[in-house]
Amino acid sequence: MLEVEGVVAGYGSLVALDGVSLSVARGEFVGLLGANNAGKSTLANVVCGLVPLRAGSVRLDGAEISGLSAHQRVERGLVQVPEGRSLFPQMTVHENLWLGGYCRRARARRAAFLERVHRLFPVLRERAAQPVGQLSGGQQQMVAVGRALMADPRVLVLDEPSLGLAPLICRQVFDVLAGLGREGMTILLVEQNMNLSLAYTNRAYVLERGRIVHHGASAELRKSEEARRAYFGLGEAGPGANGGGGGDARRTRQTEGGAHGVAV
Amino acid sequence: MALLFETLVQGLLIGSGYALIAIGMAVVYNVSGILNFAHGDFITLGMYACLALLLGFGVGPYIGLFLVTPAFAILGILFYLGLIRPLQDTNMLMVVQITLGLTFIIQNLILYAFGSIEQVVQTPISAVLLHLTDRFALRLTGVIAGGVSLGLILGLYVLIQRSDFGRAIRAIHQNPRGAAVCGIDVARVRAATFALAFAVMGVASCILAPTQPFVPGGGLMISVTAILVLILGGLGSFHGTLLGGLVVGLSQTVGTVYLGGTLGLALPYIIFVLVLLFRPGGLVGGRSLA
Repeated sequence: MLEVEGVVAGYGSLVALDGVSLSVARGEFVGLLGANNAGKSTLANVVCGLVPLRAGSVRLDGAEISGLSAHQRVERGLVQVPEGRSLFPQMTVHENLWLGGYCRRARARRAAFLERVHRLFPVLRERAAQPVGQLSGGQQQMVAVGRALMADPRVLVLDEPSLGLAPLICRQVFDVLAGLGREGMTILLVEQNMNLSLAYTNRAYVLERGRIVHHGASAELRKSEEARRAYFGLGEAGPGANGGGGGDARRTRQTEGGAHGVAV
Repeated sequence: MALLFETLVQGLLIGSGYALIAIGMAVVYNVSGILNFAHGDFITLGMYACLALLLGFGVGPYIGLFLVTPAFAILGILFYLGLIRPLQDTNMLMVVQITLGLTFIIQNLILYAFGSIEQVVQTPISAVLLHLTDRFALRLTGVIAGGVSLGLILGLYVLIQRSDFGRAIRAIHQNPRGAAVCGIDVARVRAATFALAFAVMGVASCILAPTQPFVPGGGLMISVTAILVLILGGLGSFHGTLLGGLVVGLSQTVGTVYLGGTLGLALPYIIFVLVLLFRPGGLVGGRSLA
C-alpha cells in the first residue's frame, strides 16, 4: 500500500536518508526503528510531505505521491501523528480533534469519527472543553492520535509516540494502535523504543545512519542480537550489550549507556 | 451628567473605529507574526481611493465600499505573495523593514497623485445630524462608522471562533506544522487571511473617509494608534483588541472634554503606560485570537 524506494533526503549538506526503501502492505503494522539521528523522523516526514526528497519515490496504492504537498497527502488518507505532537495548545481538546477532520475526505463524517475517538480515549470526552496545553503528556499524545484518526486515515504514520510518556500510558496508547491494526488500519510506527515496538508490530525495519540495516518479522528481530547492536549504534564494536534485553524503556536506556562505555 | 453621556457615546463610536483598524492588524499579526507598519498607510490609500472614485466618477464612499473592499482583498493577496511569503522564513526584521519601506512608497505615491492638501470626502449625508437630546447631536457619518465597525468586529469574531476557516487561522498561528498534518493548506489559508484582513481595512477606510479630513502622511498616526490598541489589549487577542480600541477612544474623548489641551490628548498614552506597568501582557494578556 505504501512503498518507499531509494529515498535520499537531508538538510543542507547533511544526508539524513541515503537510499532507503521500505514497504507497508494493506493492514500491516510495521515498525521503523533506530537510535537518535538514524533518520527515522526524516523518513516519516518525507512520507508525509513535510520534508522534500532529493531522489527516490514514495508511492501510495501504486501512485507516485512525492510531488504532492502535505495537505494533499492527507486528502489521500496518509495521516501523520508528528513527533512532539504539534497540537494547538490554546485550543480546547474538542477544537483540536475537530480540526483533525478538516480535510475534505473526513469533513462530512466528523461527528461519527469524533464518537470513535471518544470511545478509544474516553478521557478526551471528559476533557473536551479544556485547553490542550493544560493536559498531561499522555493525554496530549491521545489527542494527537485522536486528531489523526479524525481524518479517517488509510495509512497512519506515527513519529515517536512513546517519547516522554510513562511506560503505563505508553502501553495504553500502543494497545489502541494494536486495536486499530486488528481492525485493518495500515500503520507505520517510527520508534526509538525497540522492545515495546517489536512487541506490537508485525514487521520492522532497523535504520542506522540513514540506511536500512535490518528488516524482518518483529518476533525474529526480537531475538536477533545483530539488530540490537545496530539499534545501539555500535556497528562492528563487538557484543557490547549484555545479552538479556530488559523489558521497559528505562532499563533499555541504561543498557545503552553501559554499552557505549564498553565501545569507547 | 449630560456631558458625560455625550462624551461616552462619542468615545465609544471613535473607539470602535480604532478597534476595527487594529483588528485588521491583529489578524495579519496572528497569521504571519508580522506587525505591518504600513497598515495605516494602506488605510489612507483606501481613503484616497474613495476620494478618487468620488471626484472621478461621482461614486460616494458608501457605494465605493463595494469596489474598494474587493480591490483591497486582492491587494492583500498580492502583498502576501509578493512581499511576505518570500521573506517569511528569513529574518523577521527584514519583513518589518519591508513594511516600513512600503510606508514611504505609499505616502509619496499619494503625495504625487493628490498633493499635500487636506482632503475631505463629502457625502449627501455629511451634514445630517442625529439628535439624541435637545442639546446633543451626532453626525450620521460617525454613527455609521461606529455601527459598521462594531458589526464587522462581531462578524469577524464569530468567523474566527466558529468557522473552519477561523479555526484554521488559529491553528496556523499556534502550530503551522500541526496545521499541515491536519490537511490544512497553510499557504492558501495564509493568503486568504491576508485577503480578509485587507478587505476589513478597505471597509474601514471607506466608512472613516467621510468622518474626518485626511492627508498623505496620515497613515503613520493610524498605524501608531493601531499598535497602541493592539498592545494595550494584549498582542493578538481578539477581545483585547476590541477592549483596547474602546479604551483608547474613550480616554481620548474624556481627556479632550474634561482635561483639555495637551494633557487631554496625552491621556490615552498615560493609560497605556499605566496598564503596561501593571499588566505587561496587556488587558487580555498572553492569549491570541482566543
